[in-house]
Amino acid sequence: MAQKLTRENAEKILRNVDNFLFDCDGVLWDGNGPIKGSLETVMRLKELGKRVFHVTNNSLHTREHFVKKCANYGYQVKQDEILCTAWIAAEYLRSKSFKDKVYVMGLKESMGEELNAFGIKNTGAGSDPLVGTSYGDWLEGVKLDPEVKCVLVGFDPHISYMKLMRATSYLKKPDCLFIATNTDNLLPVKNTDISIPDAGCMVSALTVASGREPIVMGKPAPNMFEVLREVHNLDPSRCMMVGDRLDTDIMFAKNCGMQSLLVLSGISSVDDVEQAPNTSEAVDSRPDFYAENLAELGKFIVGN
Amino acid sequence: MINTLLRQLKSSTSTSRLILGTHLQPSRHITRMAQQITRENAEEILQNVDNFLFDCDGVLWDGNGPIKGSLETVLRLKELGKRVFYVTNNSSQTREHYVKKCSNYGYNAKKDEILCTAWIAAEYLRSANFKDKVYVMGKKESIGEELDAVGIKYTGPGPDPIVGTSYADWLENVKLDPEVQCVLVGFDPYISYMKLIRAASYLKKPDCLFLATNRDGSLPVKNANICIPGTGCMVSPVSLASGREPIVMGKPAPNMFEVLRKVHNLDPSRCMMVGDRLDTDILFAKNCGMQSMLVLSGISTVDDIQRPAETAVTIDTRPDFYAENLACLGMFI
Repeated sequence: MAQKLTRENAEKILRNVDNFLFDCDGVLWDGNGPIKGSLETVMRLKELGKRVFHVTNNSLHTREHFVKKCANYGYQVKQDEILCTAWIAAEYLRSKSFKDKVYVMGLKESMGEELNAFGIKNTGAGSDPLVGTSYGDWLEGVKLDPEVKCVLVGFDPHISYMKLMRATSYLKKPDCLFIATNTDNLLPVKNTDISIPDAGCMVSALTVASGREPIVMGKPAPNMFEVLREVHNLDPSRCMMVGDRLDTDIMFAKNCGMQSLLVLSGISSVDDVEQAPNTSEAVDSRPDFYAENLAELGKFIVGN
Repeated sequence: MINTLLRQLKSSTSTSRLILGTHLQPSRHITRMAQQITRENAEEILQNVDNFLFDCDGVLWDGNGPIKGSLETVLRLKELGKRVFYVTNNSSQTREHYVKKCSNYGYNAKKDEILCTAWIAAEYLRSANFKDKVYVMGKKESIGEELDAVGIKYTGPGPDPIVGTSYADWLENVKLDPEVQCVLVGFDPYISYMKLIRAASYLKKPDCLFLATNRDGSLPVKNANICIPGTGCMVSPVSLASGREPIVMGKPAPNMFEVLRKVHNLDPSRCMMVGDRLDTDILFAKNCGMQSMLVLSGISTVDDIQRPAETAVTIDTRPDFYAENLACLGMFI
């Protein structure tokens, strides 16, 4: 069973874990700003000699942007300690020696930039509004680029019918790759009456029209851990993933052989943990530990 | 109600029949594969079927224009004394528009012989005595007009682009209207991120209704490199963001048949649904206790029929008959 975090098991965690991997949205910050006590806890763990990494499914930003965002909060991280899905998607294509063009349904500032940094040709990112009033007009606007051999979809606030037509038309060709940064349905924001749809919504529009499933780069797929493990020589059994979503963060931990802590300051709720059924799917996303938020861990390690 | 039943059906481990109430007949026990249309079974069909219900896109016409031989077949059936109706999931147009479109193509259908999903959605809300406001993700010219015709207030159709470049900007623009008690999603060429935020946010309230005209993933365009995304692409993101499933108005839900059955006093066992999609038209036929014929001039392919029934999970979407197109039936009658 998932154990509620206590002083006793927090101390055990400090003995058994050398490396902490933190999700960002819903753990360090959310739509309202920094989550109280989280960054202090992370910095305290570093003081205690733990290595700290960040693994986020967020496809809105580049790796560089996350470094700056942390710095703005007074938290210094190095670029090779952060992984985000815009970067891992570009890295994936590089590792497959992809030499063609990518049709991007996502932001120029994140996915576009990461692909550019790897020298991978891309088209489509940014605004693409509907022009004209009829199918005739719209179909006229869809001029497919024969160089495109991959559709990459992530968070796209510029989602439009034109983009759906283009992306799904490219996907008609079976040899066109279909990659998604992540499939999270929402970005976390507590205590408001507003929901913030995430990349999963853009991906689902494409899977419904194309009948195809994408290769997913982000958690729970192990790609981002693989990179960190190689670069920093990590032993998964001495790593702990800390996140706010059972179906991404915790499943990711299990897929990579890491320990896991769920914080309830984001998407998943206490019922999701305490009322989880005994199905194999639920077991695959059962955290080792859970706590209200990261500050809870922080308060048990003060003075260690 | 149908969605609860569909969900239960998906989770059951044995093939089962979908029984939705007193109006529906249990399906005949089908042990044989779908039969390709021949002179012999075409004659059998004429003996056993009084009323034909036709899907439109992919059966009578598609993105390229009228499908060869379909009109002639339908007119011949009428000559033979059969009653003919038109049942389309397309939520892009009003019922009035479809009457005109059918007429332009030569079908000369009366308004009460045609059903489309913009109309049935408005009718559903009217018959439920809905008095509040609807947030519409769809076209003003179809859903908007049908709601106007029954005096139901709504907001939302048309362009709704994002303003600004950050969360703070976008969230500032989202002011929820407290009168909204229903989100209705239909075909929306103006789909945008703002609309997804609004729809998902309204649906945070459990007592806000969630309706969808249909969930077709794409519209038929044979032999083209282009895909035309359908309403399913609007519904799915809203469903995912809200964690809720909509009440679906169109096929395979039986709503449109229910209206025709009542108005025209139809015996489902003497009705045949002719369509181009297994998961809407043929499933609709089974849900309503009708016979069914699949034509391959639209979305579904011959592979879809010849794959084992297990691929359709526990839902039987095997048509009774199938043919290349409607003209293949026409040539035998």
